[in-house]
Amino acid sequence: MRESKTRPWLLLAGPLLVIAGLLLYPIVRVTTLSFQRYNLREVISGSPVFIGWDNYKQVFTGAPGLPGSYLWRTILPNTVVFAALAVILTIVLGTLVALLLQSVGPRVRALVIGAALIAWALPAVTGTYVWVWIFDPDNGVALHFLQSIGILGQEGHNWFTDRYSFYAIALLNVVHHSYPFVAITIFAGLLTVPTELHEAAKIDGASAWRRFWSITVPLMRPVFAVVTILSTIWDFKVFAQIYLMPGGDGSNPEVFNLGVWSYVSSINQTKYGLGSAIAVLLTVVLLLITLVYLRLLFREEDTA
Amino acid sequence: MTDNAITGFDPNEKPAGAHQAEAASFGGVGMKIAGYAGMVAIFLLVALPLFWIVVTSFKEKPDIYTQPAQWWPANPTTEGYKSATTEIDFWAFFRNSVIITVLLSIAKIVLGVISAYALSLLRFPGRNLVFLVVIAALMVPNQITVISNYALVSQLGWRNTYQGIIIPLAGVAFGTFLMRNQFLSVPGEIIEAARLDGAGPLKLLWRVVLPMSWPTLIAFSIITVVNEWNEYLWPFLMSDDSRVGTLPIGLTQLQNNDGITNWGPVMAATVLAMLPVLIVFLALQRHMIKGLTAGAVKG
Repeated sequence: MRESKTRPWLLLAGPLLVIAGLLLYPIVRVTTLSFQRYNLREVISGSPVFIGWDNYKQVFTGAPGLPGSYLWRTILPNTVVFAALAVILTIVLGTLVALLLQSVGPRVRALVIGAALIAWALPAVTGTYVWVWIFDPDNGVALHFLQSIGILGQEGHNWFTDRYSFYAIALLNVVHHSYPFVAITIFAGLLTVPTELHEAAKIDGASAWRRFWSITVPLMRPVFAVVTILSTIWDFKVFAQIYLMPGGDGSNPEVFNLGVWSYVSSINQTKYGLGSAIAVLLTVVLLLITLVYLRLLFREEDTA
Repeated sequence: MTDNAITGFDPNEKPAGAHQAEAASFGGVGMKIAGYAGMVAIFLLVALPLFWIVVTSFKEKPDIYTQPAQWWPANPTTEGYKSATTEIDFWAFFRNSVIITVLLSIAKIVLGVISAYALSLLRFPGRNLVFLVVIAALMVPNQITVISNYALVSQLGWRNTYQGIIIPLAGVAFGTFLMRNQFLSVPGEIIEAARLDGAGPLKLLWRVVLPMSWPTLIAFSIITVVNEWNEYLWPFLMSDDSRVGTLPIGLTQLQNNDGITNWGPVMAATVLAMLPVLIVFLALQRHMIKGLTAGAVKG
């Protein structure tokens, strides 16, 4: 190569400094904190106390006031199962909308793309408020609707106290907010699939279902890989959508996920050590997923 | 890549013939009806909440809570918009959002392009390792940076300042990732030709690589602008009021006003907060659709 050896590093210096200062330094600092007791008293005195694995013990076997199986029964399902469902639903809905975009006329297409883009532009904060309001226990549209068709009686129902209905609403909210990116990306990918392949397969008598799985999906694998991993990262880190729902701000530990638990422990309860240990756990989970993704990615580059 | 007028989104573009035929042959008529019914259901699920926001923003206060719900404002009014812009310091929040979004987006785009360029078209030892670090950085959850930076920024006395909000958020990994994929898809012959003509790395980037990558760059810019515009957690921690708070912070203030939510103004403020992003979408969407996959699919 002709360019000098130092030039790439000159170009990379800025971005790497930013990454190191803003992303790697916090990792080191939070990892250190996770082995310390750094509660309000230590914050004031400015001298954290090293306590070994105690914070992690609390995470895995129960912090004060929380059941011993809290991580396994509440937090991990709320984080992992929720993210898995959100990713699957987002990809399926996004693919369906992308296929719809392909098969409708230009006017309907413009309408659907418009609705999708508006859903994307909706701030997570107000998106959450809208869903909370729709499911409001006293006055919500959903309540009136279900009462009017006789599914719910006059006594009403509070969806936010029960963990499952809480997360069902969060799921609606998150999928509604994240499918537009997926749909438009997949739609753009579909435009690159050569039509001749579909024509040929049709002449051979392949059904639309079969053609979708044997032509579209294999050709679109890189697109699906990208939207899947990005959705996974985003859905594991969901914060505002949980925190802003009734109970998610700290009053109902049943509905926390890893991110909210970490935030509530450190910022609300000033147990920075415990919060850090939880954040480290979240990072480890995400890194494991990344490793799987990197394997897929590099295998693709090898075969390409 | 030069034909984005053809491949980019165009409402008048005809759907590819093969796919029209595909829809028609999707099983029998029953399947087709079921398919359309499903799509209509999806569309309603997606569009109804949005419709509800807009309708509510134009309702009079008592009408918002009547049951059965009004699907069209009985007495359309712009009172909600008036309250939204007077009950909170709306335009100050708006100004802060613009300043923070613009500065953050510029920083992220420049850093993303430069690092992606170095990681894709320059060859040097350790390149894959650096890329791995970037990918790993992409995973770092907000909670990590929040815990670490909160104390740091507070000690610096940077709470309620623009730099306190902007600098800790400037870490970029997504852009590096997206732009690297795009740059790798630029044909090697073109780059070799430019090099033979004596173009240095920066000229190569500015004159050859970037002009071929506009769609992806625009897609990346839109994603960045939308994300920064809607960023909640960090600005929420860093600002107490409208001095540097962003629109999402203003929206939470409006929602918590007096303890009872007055949904009309909240919905009106939501509509106002979405408008700038929608304008950006409208201006750039034609280029964006191609850009989202340019890096992922070679062809």
